[in-house]
Amino acid sequence: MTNSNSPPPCVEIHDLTVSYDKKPVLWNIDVSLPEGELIGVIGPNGAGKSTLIKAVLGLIPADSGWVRVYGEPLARQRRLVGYVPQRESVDWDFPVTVRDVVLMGTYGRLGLLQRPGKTERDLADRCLADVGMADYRNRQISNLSGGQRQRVFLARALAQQSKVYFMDEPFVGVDAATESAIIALLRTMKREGRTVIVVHHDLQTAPDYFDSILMLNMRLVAFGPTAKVFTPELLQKTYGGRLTILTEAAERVAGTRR
Amino acid sequence: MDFPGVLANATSSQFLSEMARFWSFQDGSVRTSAAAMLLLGVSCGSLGCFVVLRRLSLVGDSLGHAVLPGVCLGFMVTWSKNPLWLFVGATATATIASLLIGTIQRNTRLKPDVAMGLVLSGFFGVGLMLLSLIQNDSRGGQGGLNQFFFGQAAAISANDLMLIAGVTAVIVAGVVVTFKELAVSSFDEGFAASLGLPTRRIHYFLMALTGMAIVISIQAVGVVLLSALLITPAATALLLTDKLPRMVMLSVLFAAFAGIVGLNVSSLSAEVLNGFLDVVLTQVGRSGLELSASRMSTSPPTGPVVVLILAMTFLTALVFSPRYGVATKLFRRCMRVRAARAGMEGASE
Amino acid sequence: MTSAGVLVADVLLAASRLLPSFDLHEHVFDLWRGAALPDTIWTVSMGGLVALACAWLGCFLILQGQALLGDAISHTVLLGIVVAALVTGSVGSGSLLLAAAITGLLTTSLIEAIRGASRIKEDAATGIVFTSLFALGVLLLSTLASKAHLDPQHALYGMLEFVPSGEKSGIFGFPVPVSVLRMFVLCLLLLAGLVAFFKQLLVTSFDRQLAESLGMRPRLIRLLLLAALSLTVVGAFSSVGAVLVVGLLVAPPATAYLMTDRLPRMLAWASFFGVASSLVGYHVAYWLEVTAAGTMVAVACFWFTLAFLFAPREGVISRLFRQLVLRVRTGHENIARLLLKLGAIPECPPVSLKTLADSGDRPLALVTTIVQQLRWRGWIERVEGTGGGGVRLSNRGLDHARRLDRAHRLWEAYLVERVGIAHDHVHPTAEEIEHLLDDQLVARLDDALGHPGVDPHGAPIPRVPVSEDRPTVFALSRLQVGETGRLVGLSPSVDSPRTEPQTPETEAIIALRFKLGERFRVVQRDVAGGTWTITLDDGRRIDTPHVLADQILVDVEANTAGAAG
Repeated sequence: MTNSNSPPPCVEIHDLTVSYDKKPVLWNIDVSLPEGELIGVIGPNGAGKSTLIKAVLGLIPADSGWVRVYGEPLARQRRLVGYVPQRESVDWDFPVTVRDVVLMGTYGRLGLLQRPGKTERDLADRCLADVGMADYRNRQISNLSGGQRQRVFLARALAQQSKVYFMDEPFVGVDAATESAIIALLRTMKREGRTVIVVHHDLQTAPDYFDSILMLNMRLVAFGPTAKVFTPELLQKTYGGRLTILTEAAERVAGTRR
Repeated sequence: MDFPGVLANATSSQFLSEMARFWSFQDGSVRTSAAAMLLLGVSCGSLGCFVVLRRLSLVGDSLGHAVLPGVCLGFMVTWSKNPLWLFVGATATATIASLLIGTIQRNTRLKPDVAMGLVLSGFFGVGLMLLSLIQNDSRGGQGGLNQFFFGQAAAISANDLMLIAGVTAVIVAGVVVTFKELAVSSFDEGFAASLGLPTRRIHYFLMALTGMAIVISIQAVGVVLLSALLITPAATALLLTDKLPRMVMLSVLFAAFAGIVGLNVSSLSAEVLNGFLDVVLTQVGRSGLELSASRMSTSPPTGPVVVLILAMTFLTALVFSPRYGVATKLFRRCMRVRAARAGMEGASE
Repeated sequence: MTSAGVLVADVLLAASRLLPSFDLHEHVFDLWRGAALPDTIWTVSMGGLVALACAWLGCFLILQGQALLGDAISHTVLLGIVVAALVTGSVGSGSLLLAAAITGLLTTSLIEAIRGASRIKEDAATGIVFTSLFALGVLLLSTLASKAHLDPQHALYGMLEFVPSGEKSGIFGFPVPVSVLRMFVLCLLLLAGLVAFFKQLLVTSFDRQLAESLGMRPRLIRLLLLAALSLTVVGAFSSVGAVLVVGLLVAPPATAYLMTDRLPRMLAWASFFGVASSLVGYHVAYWLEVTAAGTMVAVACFWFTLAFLFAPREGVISRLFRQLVLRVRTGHENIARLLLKLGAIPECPPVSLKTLADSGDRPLALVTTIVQQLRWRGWIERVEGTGGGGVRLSNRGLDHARRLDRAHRLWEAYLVERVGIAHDHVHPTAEEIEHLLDDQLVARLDDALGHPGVDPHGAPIPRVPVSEDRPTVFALSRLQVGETGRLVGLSPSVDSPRTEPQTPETEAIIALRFKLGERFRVVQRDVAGGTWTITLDDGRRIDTPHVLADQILVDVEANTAGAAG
């Protein structure tokens, strides 16, 4: 698609098919994500939004296809990629403080036996300040509200100092103040030339928040600038009717693998 | 609460001399067993933190039971309790057991706890069969393998201690080198994987270390109650701190403390303990009980004593932990209510 | 490595020397006659009754994710029994009831208390509680050994062998061991409870929230289950011991779980495996002169191993076998389709095996084998000729190959048109899927796509005749624009999911408008609107809805030279 002299796209997903519990849930995803944009991933429940992010990050294996980040396989570009998982995926009773969590963002750059030092701690404090959580750095994480936990996760992602970020439902269950703080932060990140891919569930806010939108429902329905793809027809195609034959075929594929 | 005071004089002096003998560490065998308990505290206490935080408590229990057939097979190599062969046998069955648990989980829809329950009981059943085979044999009758059920720390030999020390060194090195990785993958496995950390390998590494810790602990606490040495100190520490490194330290401390005190109690002679029991029962005032029946014929096994001491530390922490204790919370609530009342009174005046 | 192998062999040899030789008469039959009979009956029935009770409860425990609770309670029961003996001064039935109450309540309330009061999770809380209570039980027991007729090791592995020599009570003048009697009554109670609460148990096990919304009070059901569990464990304790109760609670139900996914059958299988463990375990234990309870559990786990490997649906070996069958079938089908592509169909020139191997990029040996197998199946015929001759599809093979080709191309069309995947990415998926789609699903695909004539790459999609005896008969909806045919009838059940019954109306319309045998030409296909338009020879123009077009059978004989493909 790209001609030889233009730079490689920030994230290129080629013919990616992914199974969850041996059942194909994403079919032949084929898309190139441009650099420096806020990109929303929308689709109904069970459309495979989180699965797409996890497969791109290599957290679950793909059946076929490949992913490149700035023209290279992900394994070589880990440092360029940041990740904000869903909040519920961790145990918030874990005995760590807010700053300990943020410091985990720097672990990718540290070798075995290397411990985070003053540089890392200063960075973590700056990142906490960026999300407005500087005062909480020595708190234990179980004492935080949902919005505060999300901010801690964002601060940890900032501490990764990556160029591309994948965020899984960062706006779910946060208060209005946190939501606007997060979107302000995302816009700052965009101004700094970073690319942010966000799984989003709120169709009301989606067109305001994102430059481009990726519509997903077991397959890529559409990807493009928000103004172009956020149309009733494409939304209907994404959220309306399930592809029952595709689902049945997926069951059969799963049946032969189990 | 001055029990020694009410003890019969003879028992009292015996108690004091036995305590002195233990805590002076003059006796070589006491030194050996105490050092072993300390080392086991370090191994199990530190690994237990990660086992508890990753919700793998049942793994300790299943692997603990699964070493029994290995111990029996190891015994059958030389028909004696050769530490090396026992270690090899126990490690082998623990490894097979953990692989089996993984295989069952990957290939069926059975939940992890069912897979572990199966392996636990199956291995233990086979272990019991082997044990009766050994006991039927003329060479095995006096083997003393029964100690492996509940542990007999006093029987730890110098060779056992060497082995325990070596394995503990490996475990400590493993935990220190991969502390950061263990921490991040225990907290947020998905994030750890996105950093490019080999989370699966970290998991198996932790399992291997835990298996080794279990294998060296069977002599001291026995296979049945082994999981407590992993879980209880770690859970106690979790009640007391919000920092992982501190949790590991505290957990090691509790495990070692319970180990050594437990060793002390179980090394007391039956007369002294019976003397205690008499005192306790008269104080409780249960005259209906036939005191003559409440007699220990031998010193109790180490395992249950250690586990009870651990349970008591846990209970204490559960109630009185400065931050999360039940009593502490109640006290704070009372204070708040009182302060609020005072505030209201102040306002109305 | 060799020394390790030698060592393993040594150990196994040493172990095998410990095994007495097995004699069917001595170790099996003789136990069922003469003086040995009562012992056998009481031991096996005690084991069987314990196994039954445990199997029933275990099914619900593992379905509700509570296996750990079984583990916990079977340990803490020791404390219950010791305390009850201490308080009542006996080990009679009343004392056992008390023991069950203490055990169940103490264990669960302590676990709940720890979870509620702290951030300790369920698994750790359970581990702490049961090890502590068990340790307390062991220590108390060692002070009361003379009173409770128990010692700590029996608490672990029980003494099934002592059941026949235990206290007996006369039933119809027949002495029955009290422990067996007790377990029998318990099993009857459990069975009654199972029957009475079956629906509630079923719903609570699969969907707690649903149970709640149906007003089934899942908490109460769980409490009853807990009570039943405590009673069973107490009743079983002295004969099979703590760890082995866990085995009987987990192994037979887990085995049954692999055999079926319906609860009643699962209960039946679990009962079967439980009782079989008792029976086989007893004989094996007698033969090896080892602990009966331990052997019983080992046998129960042996059944699990068998089911794990060979259960019809879930077994590892069965699944490998199914995958192997699929792979062989895929190989066969791929060769058949390749022959179709190469034009080696009946009446046409055959291709050599070499050509076949080269064009499919497969090793010649493999192709030769598959061709041989296909000849046995009658899909391929061998044609002798110049240059060694070759092979081509038989009529039967052609039919299969066409069906595959059709599935492949329809799937590609579906991916491109409905799923929106680029047409250069659909081929690999279709190569896998074509072997998995059955006729019914293909028919639905075809119907959903409006019976397309060509695939996304422009290649024609082969039609499959509706009538096998006249291979030129199709549903009208399958015909493409410009094709002509003859109306031959009406099919009540075309292979389409639309199963609207044929109403008198449709018959009337058809009878009114055209007759059998009339010739027509398809002039328009409006797939989106669902209308097929045909013109009859007399110039009449008829609009047929999709449903009807699926039912009308047409014969395209002699008119299909160009279009049918």
